[in-house]
Amino acid sequence: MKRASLAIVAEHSMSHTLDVFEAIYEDRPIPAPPAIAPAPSDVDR
Amino acid sequence: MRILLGCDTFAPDLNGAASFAKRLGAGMVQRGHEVHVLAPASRAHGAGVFQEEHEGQTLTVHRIPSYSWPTHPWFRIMLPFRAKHHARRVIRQAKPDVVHAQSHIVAGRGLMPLAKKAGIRLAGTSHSMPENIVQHAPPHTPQWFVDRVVAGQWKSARRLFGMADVVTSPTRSSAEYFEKMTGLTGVLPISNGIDTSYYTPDFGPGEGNRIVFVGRLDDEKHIDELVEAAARLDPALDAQVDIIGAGEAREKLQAQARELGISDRIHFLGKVSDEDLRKTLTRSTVFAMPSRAELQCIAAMEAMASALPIVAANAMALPHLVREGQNGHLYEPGDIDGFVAGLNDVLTASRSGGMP
Repeated sequence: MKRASLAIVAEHSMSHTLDVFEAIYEDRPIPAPPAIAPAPSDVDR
Repeated sequence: MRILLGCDTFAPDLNGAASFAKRLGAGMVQRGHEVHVLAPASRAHGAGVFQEEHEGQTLTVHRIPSYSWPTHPWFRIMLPFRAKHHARRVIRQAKPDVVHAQSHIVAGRGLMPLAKKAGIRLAGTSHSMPENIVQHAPPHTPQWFVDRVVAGQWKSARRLFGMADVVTSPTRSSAEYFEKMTGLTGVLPISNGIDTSYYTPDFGPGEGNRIVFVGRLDDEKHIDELVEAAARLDPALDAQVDIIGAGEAREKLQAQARELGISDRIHFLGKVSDEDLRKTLTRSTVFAMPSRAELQCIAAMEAMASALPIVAANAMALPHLVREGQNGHLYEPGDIDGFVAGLNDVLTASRSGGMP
């Protein structure tokens, strides 16, 4: 469960949020989100 | 680029909208932009223009005269009927290329029409629901009046956010709710984001079973459910509960813990420094969030960045963060037995070493 939490929160990177708002401010296309983290294995749960 | 953020709440306030604005502003400065913030003064006679350091970056903060909200322990409000006056002055001083309103209530009410009229690029982010804000109405306010205020606020949100070139909300569910209540379309779900490098996961055995909650101690957070759940946990688990945050519900929660005979296991830590918050998260076993009104729970994201499993109410945007059985458990709001079962599962797995 610990590793799963880390994997899920990685989808919410601040760096991507800043990329998106910078694009919005500059009226550019919004960048694609970061790659989705792999699902945690049973060992990780 | 010169960016002007319009905030009804900003540091040192501790809440999701204030944290987001601080991190967004600091992040943009780090990227070479000039960031101005229009925000309420954090104390009486604290108005003025200040160079303030937040997250290691310098932001120009235009502190507007503000007044204590009589039924709230820390919230300060700018006068709505002076919003345009102050917004006009700040826009004249900051000369922004873009205005980003974090709320429509006062800051947005002043800034958004002026930005629109001046042809300045305008973004708006919805962080809160009027239904939550009116929970701080004075006691004995008639329900019909509260309902009218809520309806008026949604109407106002439609008018003001409708002026923006882009409207965002932190999660898909909050964006959909905002669209439903305002009739606006095309609201973008953009996460508040988190810099995970600030947090330290601990995969070791930890210091016993520690449950942590972080947030304002307000009735809307339903922390009483956590206290109740803690009282029903198997005593053999010896679960300790750390409650971080301040608010008007603290005395009531302390009384509840006394009544349930678990005062020695519920630790009210109050407001803590960022460093102490991170240390507490690192040493915890599980993060609990019984609130039903989280548009995006930054505290839960901080806990996840510290590798904590989450047990949370299946409400609003919390299911975006909690995947049942993968990184924690969801329980139906008010279902204390479900809450206990979720906590019990995580704590038991932790004790048996089954949670790397």
